Amino acid sequence: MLQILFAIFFGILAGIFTGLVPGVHINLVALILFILSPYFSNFTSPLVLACFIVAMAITHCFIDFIPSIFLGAPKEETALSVLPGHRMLLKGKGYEAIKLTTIGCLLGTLVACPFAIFFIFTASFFYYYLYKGIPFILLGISLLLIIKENKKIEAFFIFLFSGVFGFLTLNFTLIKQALFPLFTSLFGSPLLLISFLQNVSIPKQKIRKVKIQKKDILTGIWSSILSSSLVSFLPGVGAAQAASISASLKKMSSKVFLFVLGMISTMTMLFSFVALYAIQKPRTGVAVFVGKFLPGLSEKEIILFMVVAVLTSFVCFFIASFFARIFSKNITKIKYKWICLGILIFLLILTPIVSGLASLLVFFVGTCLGIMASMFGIRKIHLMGSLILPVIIWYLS
Amino acid sequence: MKKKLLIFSSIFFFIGLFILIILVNHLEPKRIEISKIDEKKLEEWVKVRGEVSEVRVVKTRTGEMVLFKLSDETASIYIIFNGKNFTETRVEVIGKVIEYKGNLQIQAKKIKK
Repeated sequence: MLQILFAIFFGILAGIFTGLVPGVHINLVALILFILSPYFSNFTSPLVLACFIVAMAITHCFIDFIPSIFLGAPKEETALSVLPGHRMLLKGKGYEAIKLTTIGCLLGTLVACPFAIFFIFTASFFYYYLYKGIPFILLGISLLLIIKENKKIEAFFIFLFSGVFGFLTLNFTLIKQALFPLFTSLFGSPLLLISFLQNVSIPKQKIRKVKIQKKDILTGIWSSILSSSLVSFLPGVGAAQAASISASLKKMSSKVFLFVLGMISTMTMLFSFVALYAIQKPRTGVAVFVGKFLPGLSEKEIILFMVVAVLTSFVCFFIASFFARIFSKNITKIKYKWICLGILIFLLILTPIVSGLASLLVFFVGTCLGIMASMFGIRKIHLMGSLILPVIIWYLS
Repeated sequence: MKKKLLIFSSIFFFIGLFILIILVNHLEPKRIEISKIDEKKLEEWVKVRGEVSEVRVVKTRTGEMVLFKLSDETASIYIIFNGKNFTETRVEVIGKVIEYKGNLQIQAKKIKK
């Protein structure tokens, strides 16, 4: 019992590290842990290590939004938060943006638990139909999003070309961790470069209470549950696609969308552990390692994971707010233009280290596409075609 | 400024995409010995060559896949392939190292004689 509490504590610390630092993915830490696990097995059990991973993963969901929103350096799951977050940052509401994702994350964990129990019993049944249906669902929502645009042709063009780009990147044998250069270049670097070139400056950030309407909370909950449950049990789709699905279901303001992104972030993570148990398939890198530590999962472990997740979520609620406060107070101390340049250079150095030298080509092409999308004035969500089109092709083949 | 940026980024995008298309179609990972495949190579692309054995058609919830064992002078590994069954006994496999039920496997993208 005490060991589990220690595991949660260190898991939260690890999650803070992986969340705050761009380019460091929780999968990496989980992999290192797995490689080192023989040493750990002398004084702890695999269950404790699994709890560490769960705590780290949930913490990561919370903290990951901070570099995305404040620094424009996203990861796959938080890529869509960059633009709405940035918009709020420009209004001096960066703290509020993080608060929204944080509340979303916490609520996501709490709401996911009862639904998780429901899915444990029903997932297996729906799996086949979901599997056959998902390519059409994804195609449908992507086209729906394009049709809703004013500039339909440009949106379609961006969607199509991001799909080609994504397909090539995922099949590029010279690089590893392809998702990192893919998402950083499509969502992060264009924003940073444009902010730098346009000499954007951020106003002083106000730290104030967040107000969300009850009906927005309810909208957020049902759209998150729907999209998260669709993607969490299927291979190749995750939080990023869930966000696209939610965005297509109902038009949302930046604030509500950030809230939904937070919910999806923790929901998909929790459901991936349920998927591991219900259909014996790990759907996130983290679930892969939990599955390795605990090959014979039972309901007891899942319930323990849920308890760990809820505990971690409550702690992270305050930790995320704390970091958001620090970032808000200090981000205006340096000229934003130079922050953007600094992050951009950091990403340019980090990308080849994480993904190999060839990933710089991916980074270059992706950034160009991201800039085109910005200049066209269409929603960034069409750039999700980079994941959605390859997935559709994969499912249909 | 917007128009200039759009034009430049479009031009560079197509040039870069073109280069990427060429590279993706013509480059292959270096061939490695199967014994060199470990956890650190997870999610990486590899090329291996060896003898085929234990060919099975596996029925999954959603379709069929071909599973076989590939052995070279150093070790063996299971390959999962989403394609038609084949009869060759010596093949070259290009694929991604994945994990399945606690073991490392290669999810093949291309199989050559």
